[in-house]
Amino acid sequence: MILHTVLPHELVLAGWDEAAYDYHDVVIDGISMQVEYFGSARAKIIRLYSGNLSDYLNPLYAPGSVIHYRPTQIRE
Amino acid sequence: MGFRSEETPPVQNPDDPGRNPTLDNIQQLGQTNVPAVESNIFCMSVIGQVEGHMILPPQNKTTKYEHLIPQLVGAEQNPRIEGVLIILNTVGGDVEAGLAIAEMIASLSKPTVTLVLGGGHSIGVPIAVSADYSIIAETATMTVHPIRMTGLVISVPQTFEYLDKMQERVNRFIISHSRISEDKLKELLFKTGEVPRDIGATVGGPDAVRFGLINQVGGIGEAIAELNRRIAERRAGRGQAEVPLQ
Repeated sequence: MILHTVLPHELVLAGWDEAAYDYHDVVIDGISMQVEYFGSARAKIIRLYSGNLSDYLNPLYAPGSVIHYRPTQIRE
Repeated sequence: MGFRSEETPPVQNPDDPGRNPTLDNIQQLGQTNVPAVESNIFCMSVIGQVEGHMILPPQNKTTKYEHLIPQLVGAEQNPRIEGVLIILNTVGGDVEAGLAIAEMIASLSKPTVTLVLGGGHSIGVPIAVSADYSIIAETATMTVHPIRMTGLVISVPQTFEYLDKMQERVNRFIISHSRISEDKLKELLFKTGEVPRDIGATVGGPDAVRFGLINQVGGIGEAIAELNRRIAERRAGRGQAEVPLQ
């Protein structure tokens, strides 16, 4: 990967090794997506995996938006 | 298929002559309602770093290519979208992601207009020139400079050739999608004394137009007007094409 930017690379990549991500794959309303859990019962949409193009034009599930979920018991 | 995230259910009888929806909203929610009108223009902004193969640390404001590309596919496929407006204020970023976005915009069949506000630097330059028509704000700048390399550099001629090829891909795209000549672009790329600690050139709005990189100096008004003009032109052209041949 080559970065072509006016910003110095040391600025762009600062904190590179400290970043920790809590990413999970979920399906909401039939849309498969990657979310990042944070706080209690909240998650931020990172990106959609769905192949349905209209999902990408739906602001409700735009990347960056926060969704709330209810913790439920999983029967195994 | 809709773009609206929510549809406000009618609280009162819509036929009630004494009803004022805006006033109702102010009273009930303390806010005015923006009329939900579906636009035939799809607006996309490219801000901060263009992020590609690697997740950049969180202090960067980034535009991720895996977000933009399906949106562009959606805009191309959706019959209700007739034109795409791209607003740029980017410091550059991943070469491959930037070129991918630029190629996607360039190959859309619908009219496209780019507007450079603030800055369209480095890999933002091919994105800025990728549309049918490009506009730059008077105060905006575009930094044209060569690709740099950090990390492990093996001092063999192949390293230079690799970088040269990478630069050539970017140059070819810029030359073929704008009116700038190869000589002028190379002159800007190899200029000294304009960019601190680097070679290259900082091109202001009017200069970008003079060099043939961008079509016009202007703002959002000009961008929307140009996009609407192109949409009308396309509609007229399609009307003719739909006449049966026999």
